Amino acid sequence: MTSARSAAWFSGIFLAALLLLALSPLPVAGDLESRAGAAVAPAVDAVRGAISPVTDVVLHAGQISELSEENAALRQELSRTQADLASLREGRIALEQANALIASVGAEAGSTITATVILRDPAPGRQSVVLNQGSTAGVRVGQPVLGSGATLLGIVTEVNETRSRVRLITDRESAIAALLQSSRTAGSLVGDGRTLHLDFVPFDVAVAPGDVVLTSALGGLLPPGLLVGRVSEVEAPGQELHQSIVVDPLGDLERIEQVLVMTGFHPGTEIESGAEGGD
Amino acid sequence: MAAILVLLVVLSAPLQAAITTALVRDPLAAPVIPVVLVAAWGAVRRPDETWPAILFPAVVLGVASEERVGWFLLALLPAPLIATLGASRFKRHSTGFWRRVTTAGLAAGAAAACYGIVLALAGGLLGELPARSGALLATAGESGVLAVLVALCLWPFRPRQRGLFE
Repeated sequence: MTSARSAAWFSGIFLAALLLLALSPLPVAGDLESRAGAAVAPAVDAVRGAISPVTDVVLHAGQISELSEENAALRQELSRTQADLASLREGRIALEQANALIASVGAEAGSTITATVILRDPAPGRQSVVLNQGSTAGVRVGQPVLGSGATLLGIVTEVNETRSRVRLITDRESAIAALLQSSRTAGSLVGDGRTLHLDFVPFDVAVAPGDVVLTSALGGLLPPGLLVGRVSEVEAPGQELHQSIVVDPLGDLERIEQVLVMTGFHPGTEIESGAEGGD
Repeated sequence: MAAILVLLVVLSAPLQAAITTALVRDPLAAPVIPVVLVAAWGAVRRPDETWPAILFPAVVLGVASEERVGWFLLALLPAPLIATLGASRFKRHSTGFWRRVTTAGLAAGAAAACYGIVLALAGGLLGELPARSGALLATAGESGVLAVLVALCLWPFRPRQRGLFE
């Protein structure tokens, strides 16, 4: 009797799961999940906030020796940085002049809003986050999302009035137009769930670890020149016409909390002019 | 009593979403709290009470994720199945403390590994699983240990044979 009832439950739930997956391509299913997700996100955020003191202790307990080594390395880095600072001060004057010029060309080019990450995707194969800003704050699908240092973290993929979902650049479904800063060679930057791969760079282009990768305006889906990552590995092509290039993202995608959404950018069009203004 | 399990497992779903990204760097290595509760309940109490408990957490986790609700339902489905198979070895009232607690741990470990594998399949990570077997072992181990602890907490609520004068 019990085994018959268990078999019935198993079959019923299994069929329900298959039915849900079969219906999932329907727009109404996505809309329903999006609305329900907006209701669930604050609850998850509240739980996450409540357990954060515990998780911080657990995460850092085994890292004390690692942290002291890192501290020593950072001290060395600091002394080198102080030496660089003097020369950078000279450069700052030139940069301020350049910024004034950019501002006069398009004051709204960098129009952004700040948003807080309230939920990270719990599925292992997905790299996405939910932000606490939505269409009422001017967020639209396709807008780039930046982290500290104006590095590209991801692109908005879903928006409702008060929330938006951002697909991080490391997600397996993420693909953006990018270029190597050193050679100005364009390629397609795709995620693999953990890191990035720059595809379609011809084998005869000189690429070295450390080269900076920026967004490209090709296709009009992203503004040009946003920092994305740094080349970490280059494999010499065998029979291939293109190089295999691994890129480490510059943004800390595992620990993002506050982000900037480029609300002044509308994909497929030019960046808003100053006269039109941001919302 | 089954309603209490349903409520506990529903409440564990937001906790699961929170710890998956706050406690561990690899989501595949996180303990699976709904699975822990189901496995422990099935071993200490009645496994047939665990089937309805996986429906609502699958919805909560699904709407919190880009992955679909159906995948989470499939990922959680092995938990009551394994709990039922594990408990089929028990005599209803007489099986002892250690056997039930050990079964809770083993069932939770196996079900947590299944949860990770199904979601890895959904996310296109199946080819990476051999390289990330350490994360799968971690989720199985953590879930197993937690299930043992939960089973200990549930022990006073196990179904007992009524005595002659009760």
